Amino acid sequence: MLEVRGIGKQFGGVSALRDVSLECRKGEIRGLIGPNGAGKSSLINVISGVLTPDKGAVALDGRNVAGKGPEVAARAGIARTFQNLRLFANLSVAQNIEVALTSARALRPDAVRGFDLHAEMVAFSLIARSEDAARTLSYGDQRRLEILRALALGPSVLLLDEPAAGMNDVESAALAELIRGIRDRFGCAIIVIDHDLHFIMKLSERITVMDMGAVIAEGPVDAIRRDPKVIEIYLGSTP
Amino acid sequence: MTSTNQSRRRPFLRRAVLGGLMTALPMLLVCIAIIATGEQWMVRLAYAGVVAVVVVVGLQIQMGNSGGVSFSHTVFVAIGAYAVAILSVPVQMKKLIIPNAPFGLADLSLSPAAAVLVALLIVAVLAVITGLVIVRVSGIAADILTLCLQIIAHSVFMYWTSLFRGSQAFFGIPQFMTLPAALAVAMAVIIGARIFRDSPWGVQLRASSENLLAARCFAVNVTRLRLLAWILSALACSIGGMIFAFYIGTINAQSFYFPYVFLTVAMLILGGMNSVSGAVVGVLIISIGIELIRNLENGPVLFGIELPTLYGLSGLALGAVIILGMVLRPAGIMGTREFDDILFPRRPETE
Repeated sequence: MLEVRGIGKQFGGVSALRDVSLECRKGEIRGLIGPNGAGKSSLINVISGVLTPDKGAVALDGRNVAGKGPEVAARAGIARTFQNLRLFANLSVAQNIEVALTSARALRPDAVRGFDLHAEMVAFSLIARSEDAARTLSYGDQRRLEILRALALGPSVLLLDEPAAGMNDVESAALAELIRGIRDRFGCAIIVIDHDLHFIMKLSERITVMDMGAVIAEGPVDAIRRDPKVIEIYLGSTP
Repeated sequence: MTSTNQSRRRPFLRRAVLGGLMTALPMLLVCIAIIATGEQWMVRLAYAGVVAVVVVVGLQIQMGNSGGVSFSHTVFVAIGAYAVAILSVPVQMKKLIIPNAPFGLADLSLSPAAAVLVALLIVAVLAVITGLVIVRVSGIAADILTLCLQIIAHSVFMYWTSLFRGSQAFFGIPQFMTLPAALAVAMAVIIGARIFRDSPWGVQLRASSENLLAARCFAVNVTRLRLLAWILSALACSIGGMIFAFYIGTINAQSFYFPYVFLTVAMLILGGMNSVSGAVVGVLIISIGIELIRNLENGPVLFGIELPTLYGLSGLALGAVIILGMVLRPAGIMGTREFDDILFPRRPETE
């Protein structure tokens, strides 16, 4: 289980994260929403070790990985995608996935013992492009490749930073199906950030809402839908 | 996971070896044609080209996989050449050229094979020591560090006269290498470079040079892989120095300094630093180009017209070719592709 406790992070004089706490259980899909600048991506960066928090802890199965760098978080089983795609552009689709798989085979062999690269490329509709450079893929294919690359680490926690950005409704629906499939087959905890509320509400079991660097609401989808504070930040007033 | 298959590794060795042989083919054909002419001056030029292939492919192992520029690869060429020279020159000759050599080296003479093994060990140790410093920094800082290493090493060669003879030539080195033997060495280095490039470690290192943060988020041990590439590169470059010394028989520190640094870097950048084939293409184009232009420098007679001597034309043309190459193909002639990627593209897997 992932436990984020009391995370604080300042950039200059600005508080990007204020006493943020969050839990995500194995097999749970957790939505993370909030307006621009709410601190969602900063939180993902702290959980994945990219950012060092000023205070607080990120514990995966009781082991604190906060502030120890992305390598330590990855070794512990935290994998991520990026808001702005960070594929290895000149490497092929298969090689992009192998970068993660090579690390996982050395560091987390049990987690990827059954990982079938070929079958996963089929499942992610990437098999026909397996030998093409990642930079030549369509945007949607690149997004799916980022997710598959993260899965190749055999993660306990999968962090998806705006995976549906730039996708139309049909593509978003297919992606939601894919993410549910990942949860069902791999059993990892999944935290998803997205601005598309329809996508997040449909996909998640629980949602955490952030605003101004703090968590303002947390709970099941229906409760969040009715929460006055959430309605206020999205619609500007309480109905 | 629903899948019960074992996590299979994608095979790379066979493709890397065959691709390496394909990469070596142009060099092999040019050299066979030259050997067939029986012209000794051409054989000597071809030998210099083969040495350049070894050095530039060695440079590619580091630059092409880790990213950034290295200005210190010829340090290892020089160390390789001097190490085998100091270790293999007969004792009688040493009494003449380095009578006051430290560590009892004036009284030691090894067989060339033993000298090569000891030299490789020395290079490996020095590569580990220097690499531990250089791989921890990135970008311009790393490039400058390699430049500093070059200057430090050159000073040592120039001023530790009891061992390296300073600006004087170090002669008397056994001359047993031949062009076919050098070709075999170059092919082995090319195949070795391809195996490393295509190996899971090489792929991870290339990934880190494309996007360092993403690589770190997938637990790629960037420092360790950069160090590995640095050591392999140093060993390959030193082999270039060794086969050079064992053919020419005489070396001096100036041969390995900045003109050779820039020439070999230019060869790699023109051919394309991201592929081993690019290294070979760069050497072939610049070596053949320089020789053609050098003939023009001497004021040849063309169609009955005596052209004026144009000293410096080769340098001018070299610069122009590199500028043109960089403008027209910034990633080099080969880009990220190997010959086998063009001739036998990898087929996508099927469902």
